[in-house]
Parts: sequence; structure tokens; C-alpha cells
Amino acid sequence: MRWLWLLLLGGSVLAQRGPAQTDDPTPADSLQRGLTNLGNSVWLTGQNAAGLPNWQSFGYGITTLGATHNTGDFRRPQAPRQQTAYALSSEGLRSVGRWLVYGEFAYQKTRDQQISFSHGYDPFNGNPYLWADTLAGEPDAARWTRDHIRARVALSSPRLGRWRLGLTVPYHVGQGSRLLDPKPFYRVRELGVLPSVWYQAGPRWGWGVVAGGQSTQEENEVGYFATDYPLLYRLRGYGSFSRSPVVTAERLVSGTVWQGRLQTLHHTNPSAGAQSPSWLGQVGGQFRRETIREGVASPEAGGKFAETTLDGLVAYVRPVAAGGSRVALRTDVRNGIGTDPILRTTGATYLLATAAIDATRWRQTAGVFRRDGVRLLAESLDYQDKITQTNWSAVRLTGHYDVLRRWERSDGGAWQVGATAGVRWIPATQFNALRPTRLTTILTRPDYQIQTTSAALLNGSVGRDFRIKRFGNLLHRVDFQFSGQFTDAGNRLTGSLNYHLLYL
Amino acid sequence: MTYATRFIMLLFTVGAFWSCKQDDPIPTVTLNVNALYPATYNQPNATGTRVMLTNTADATSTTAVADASGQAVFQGVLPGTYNLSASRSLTDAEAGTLTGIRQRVELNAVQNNVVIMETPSARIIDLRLSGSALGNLVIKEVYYVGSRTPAGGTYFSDQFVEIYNNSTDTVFLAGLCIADAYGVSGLINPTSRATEFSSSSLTQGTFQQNVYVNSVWRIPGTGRQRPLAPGQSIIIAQDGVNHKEAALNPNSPVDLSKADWETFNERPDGRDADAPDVPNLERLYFTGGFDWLVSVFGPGLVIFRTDNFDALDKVAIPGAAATILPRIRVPNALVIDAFEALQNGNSGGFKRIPTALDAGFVFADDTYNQQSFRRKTSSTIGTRRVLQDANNSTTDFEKLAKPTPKAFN
Repeated sequence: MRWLWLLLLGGSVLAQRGPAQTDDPTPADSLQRGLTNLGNSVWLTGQNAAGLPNWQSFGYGITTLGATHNTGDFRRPQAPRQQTAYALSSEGLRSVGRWLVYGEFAYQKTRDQQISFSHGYDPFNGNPYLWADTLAGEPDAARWTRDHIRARVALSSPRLGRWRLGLTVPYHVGQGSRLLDPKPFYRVRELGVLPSVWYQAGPRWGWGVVAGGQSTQEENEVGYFATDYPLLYRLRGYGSFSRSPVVTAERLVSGTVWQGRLQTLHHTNPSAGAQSPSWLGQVGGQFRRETIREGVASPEAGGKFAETTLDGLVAYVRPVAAGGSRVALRTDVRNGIGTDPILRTTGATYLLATAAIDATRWRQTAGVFRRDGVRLLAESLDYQDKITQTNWSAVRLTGHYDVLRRWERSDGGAWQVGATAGVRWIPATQFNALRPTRLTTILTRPDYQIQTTSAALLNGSVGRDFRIKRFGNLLHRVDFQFSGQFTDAGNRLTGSLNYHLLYL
Repeated sequence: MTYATRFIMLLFTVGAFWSCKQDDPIPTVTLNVNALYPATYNQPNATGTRVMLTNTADATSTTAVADASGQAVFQGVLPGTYNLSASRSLTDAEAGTLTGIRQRVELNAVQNNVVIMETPSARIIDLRLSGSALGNLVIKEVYYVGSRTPAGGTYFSDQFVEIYNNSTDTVFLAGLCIADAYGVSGLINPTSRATEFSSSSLTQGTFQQNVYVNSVWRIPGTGRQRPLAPGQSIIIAQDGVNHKEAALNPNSPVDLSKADWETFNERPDGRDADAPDVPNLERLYFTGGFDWLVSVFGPGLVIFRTDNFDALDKVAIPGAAATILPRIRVPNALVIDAFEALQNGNSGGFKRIPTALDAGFVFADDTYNQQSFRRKTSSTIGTRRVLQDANNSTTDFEKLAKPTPKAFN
């Protein structure tokens, strides 16, 4: 695995150290573009590395050191009541000869307090087969400590006639543990390979394909060095579970994710160059399979999970001389099916569908950048557990209005202020549990209630860009971001403080 | 946008198509339980018997009542492993009709680890009831799980047992014995096995007629000493101190400095401190430990009387080394009341108390979580509570978040 580390770390560093291109953008331009995510980019929407040259025309690098704190009673039962995270991340884009290299690397250390019913990495990833216990608790020993590293390297080849080839390699490794008995521990590893291609059929039309796979693995252990033996819950859906006392136990979740995506980009007026309006269309699918095994010497089935996702995107960008506008319609459908390890038939299933429309307009006038956006999101949620005869469904509507203002100073610095106000509304819900269990009342129904609670949403940010003469071309940014969900069932608040270093 | 709309509709249609594939039914089984009176009764079918079916995987229980043919029907049972228990209270008149002896009787039956598989026709199981006459003293509350210290450590010195006079007459407690049953409470370690007395060829045949106990304590005195009025109770503490004190465990839910008795285990090394304000029980037999610590995973307890404790059999644990102390065999006939707690809902196979004395068991959600088990109130006559006593801990006791010594709320 060392060669992989070298590749990932090397790619990230290489991407940040390569020679700058000749477009002569300012660091502020780069930072602004990197943060505002404007334009039609097949790299951003579908990880098509062959489309990197169409995304950024100049190299850049950003290193960020940040801390985030998240707290509040409004949380899903398997989420921590408090979470504090520290992160160091770096990303960059550079040309190496005629190749273009993008790299990113992020290390995050997280401390979670008061989590119950989750012994794993992510209890919300759809797989219903989880290990858990009821010990949330206040003591320090009940705190989860997690360390995760995420990296991604992408390469875009030189143009080969009308073709360009790309490759993206995402990698994620992490582990977490709790000191309180039975001392649950997990290790997670994900490695993917996503080859891609871009075909420029002419000045108007371009076509891209991304297809690849990912291997995932999560190992769980409980009980080593434990002095007492609480019950281990094996969650099997929405209320269905098995439980038993545990001394030591091991579990392996291994899976694959296959995905494919077809993309097209159409410029309506190619003669206008960068000012040409463009349409971006994208359809894709993702097929995820996971198998759970318990034990090492004589493994036993712990369930199977399959998830199929279809997604589609249509976006239109209309640049103007000092700004532009973008409208995007995105939709996806996720269907998850769990095969119960005991009854060996379909146990828990879900069908989630979303449709979102984003409309954004931005303008750059003398020293001031303005961005305004509206986002409307409709979601349909449907969860079923045939063992507990539980079914819940809901329709959830969310609307946001987003404002960003950036005042640039003559010394290269700037102030940036952003605010988002929104509301989440639940027009229809339904909950039935005809064969309830103990977990129906303490896990399934509370989760349903949290997910179907109307909320007022408020986000804000303030940032300051500045230069330090001694460090020449570097741009520094300090920003504070705040987000809150306010409901009748409690609030959830998040605050983060970040320092960014941007260099060309 | 027309094409985009059509595209989205297509996605939703495909999604709906997938969901149709998910409608495979979960297989279920119909279970018919035939509740039968003891063979010596003059009728076979135990009409009105309450039968409880408990899934060992998640401890979910359902109850059915036997009809006129003695059959209790459970529809839609998921394949799996279950524990079955049944109880039937006979009034004086009913007992007289069935046995010729007009005395209230509680009948119970248990069958654990019943594997129910998917079958096209109904599964039929026979449950033969057995029972004993009711006593006057009952175990009112048992707090055994212990508590957590502020530092997250474990604290188990605050265990107690409360005994209640459930009769209409004063009961004299002198000579009353209390003991904990031998055997582990569940699969605490991978090698944990049910009590050897239940499986050994030497004792298997008489296991259901006796309780094999570890340590035995007795209330001192003779004759008409230690009176306990109807509706009153006594507390027997492991340690009769205020456990909430800072030096002990401020998180403990109980102050036992006013307990009626404590089980002081006098040792040369003084490891068990004697609380001076709480009188000590007589230690008749002790099998080890610093204190009378009953299992925090779930003890089996009995209260009994005997005129001659020394005459009780001491039986070696089958297969145990000669250095291990034998256990005391207490015949069912001496037992006044019993309580059984096990580690969890899957632990029915670890029962130590004979079915005739206690057909069920309780279990806490965890160790050291302050939960306690208190007998339910059957009725209230004036200010006196009559506690439920069906010789079945599963149905007789309720699980409390915190103990309630000498109280009901």
C-alpha cells in the first residue's frame, strides 16, 4: 500500500508545486472561483478528470487549517450530540508538461460525544446492518475519537486529436474507537479508480464518459480488554434487531461500488469563447453492493445490502461581461435493499428521490463581487421494514435564498460576507409500525420525527483576505462560518473557524 | 425543459418499478400451544392459561390466552428461536374442582430455545404446567445491576433485596433464610454454560425439584421474633451505608444506611466493612468473595425456611475440582418465594430456579445502569398493597429506571 500513499501524497504536493500558467490570474480570482463553484464543469459534476482543462485554466493551491464544532438537541438518534473536528487539508491544480494534475489531501480528527446505536463509521450511509449499543453517556470514556484521511488524485492527458483521457483515484482511510466498554472500534478503507474520457466533437458539442469502481471495506471489533459485557445490538432495519451479550467479536463489511456517467456539454455560441452560453447534461448510475460477515474462524452471514442510484443533471450557464447566471436541475433516485441474515429474504428497503433546482446570478463590478442564489429541493422518503412491519414515508420541501458579497481592496485583500436563509417544510408524512420492537420507540420513530420536522435554516459566514508582505504572492484568508437549524424539537448549531493559505 | 421533465418522470418510474420487486413477503408461521394441566389433575386442557412467546433475538414478547380446548394460538410468528412460558392462577374453587384440594395454586411452564422454522402447516407445541401453593412473604424488589461512578467506573456495593409481607397476618421473620442460586446468568464468557446441576446425569433428574444455592444468610432469632406487619417490608443490603456519600459513589441511587439488615461477611482481612447501625444477618454458608455480591448480570434468589439447616444436602458441583465448595440443595417445598434475573432475553437456557417456583425471568438493559426490579401491585385493600405473585418473574416484576427501597414510586 506504500506505493499508493506515495502516489496520493506525491500527486497532491506535485499539484501544488508545479509552474504557474500564463493566464495571470490573481490569487483572489482563484480563491473566488474555487469557493463559488460557478460555471459548467464536467469535472465538478461527475469527476471526469479528462474535463479538468475545461474547469480551471490556471493552477492554484489552497491549504486549510480549520476547526468545527457542532452541537444541539436536534439530531438523529445515531448522530452525536456534540462533535468537534479539526482538519488540515490541501488541494491544488497544476500542469506537469502537457498533463494536468489535480490533488487533494485532508486529515480530520473528530471527537464525538453522546452517540448511541452506532459502532461504525457512518450509520447514515444506507446500509441497515449495523452494530450498536445503547451506551451514549456523558463520561469522557463514552466519547468517540476518529481519525480519517481522504485523498484524491486526478490526471488529465494531453489532447489526442479530439480525445482527452482522464483518471481519478479517490482514497479514504480512517479509524475510530470508544473507550467505554465494550470498546467498539472500526477501521474503514475505500479505494476507487475512475477512468474517464472526453470527446470534443466540434466547437459546439463535447461528450464525456466516466466509468469505474470502488472497493470498500469496514472492519468492526468490540470487546477487547473489556471488563464488563453489555448487550451488542445487531441492527437489521428499522426496528428489527438481534441482540446478545458480547465478549469479543469481529465483523467485516466488504463491498464494491460500480458507477458510470454520460456527460455532454453544448456551447450555443462557440464564437463568443468564454462568453458562450452552455448547456451541460449528465446521466449516471451507481451500483453499490455490500456483504457483512461476522467472526473470523467461522464467519457467519451478517446481511447483504444493495443500493442502486440513478441521477441526472441539466445545467445552463449564461456568462455576461461582468458575471453570469446559472440554472441547474438535478435529480436522483436511490433504492436500497437489505437481505436479512436470519430470514434470508428482503428485510429493510428504502426509496429516496430528490429533485433540486438551483438558480444563481453573480456580478463583478468595481471592487465588489455579488452572488445571489435560490435553491429549491423536493425530497420523497420511503422506508420499509418487513420484519417489524414498519413503513414510514414523507415528502420534504426545502427552499434557500443565498447571498454573497465580496469587497476587494486595492492591496489584494478582501472582506467576504455570506448569508443563507431557508425553510424546510414537511407537507406529508406517514408512520406505521405494526410489529413494533423496543427499538421502534427509541430509535426508529425518533429518527422519523427528526427527519420530518419542519425547520428554519440560517447560515452565515464572514471572511477576511489579506496579504503579508514578507510572503509575497501568498494570500491568506480567515473565515468564520455558522449554520443553524431551528425547530420546535430543538436546534442544531454549527460553527467553524478556518485559516486558508492560497498560492499560485 | 420538456425533455428534462420527461427525463425526471422516467427516473421516478424506474424507481417505482424497483420498489415493486421488494414485495416478497416475509415468511411467517402459525404456532399452536396446547396448555396442559399436571397429569394428576382431573382435566387435561388448561383453559385460560396465559402463554407468552418471547423472541430470543430481540426479546419481543407476545401473549395469547388458551381457549376452551386449552390451545393458545400465535399467528404470524417470524421464524427464529423463542422462549415459551405459561402461567395459570387457580382460585380455591378451581383448585378444588381440579385436584380436590381447595387451595390457591400458581401453575407455570417454560420451554426455552424453541426453534420455529418456516412450515406450511401450523406448528403445535405441548406445555405441561406445574406449580406450588402460594406463600405469604414475597421478594418485593431486587436491585442488583449496580451503578456507575462519576468517573465511569463500576459500583456494586449498593445491591439490596426487599422482602414484603403480602399476607393479611403478621409474619415472624426469625429464621427466614435468603440465598442466591448457583450458576451464571447468561453467555457472559464464550465458555459460559448453564448450571451443571441442570445437565449432569447426577442431578438432572431432580433439578426441577430443588434449588442449588451458593451462600445462605438467616435472620437471627427464634419463634415469634422479628414481626413484620401486613404490607410492611424489610431491606437486606449488601452494605448498610449511605452509598451516595462522596467517598463511595455520589451517583449511587440509594441510601441504605437505614436498611433493616446487612450481609456482613466477617473476614480476617477486614475486606467487608461492618456498618455499625445496621444489624447483620447470620452467615450460614458462604462460597467465596469479599462480600455477598450477587451477579450484576442477574441473580437467582430464594427465601426459604428450614428447621434444620445442617440437614440440607451439600452437593458437589458436577465436574468441579474437589477444592470448590459444594452447594446447598434446597428442596422446592422449603422455598417461600423466588426471583430470577438473567443477563438478557436470550439467556433463558441459563435459568437456575425451577419452573414451579419461578416460570420466568427478568433482565436489565445493561449492567451498572441503576435499573431495579419491583413486584407489581395486584390490588390495594385500604392502604395495603397486595403484590402480584404468579411465581413468574417475567410477569410479576416491572423494570424500573432506579430502585425504590421501601417505596412504590
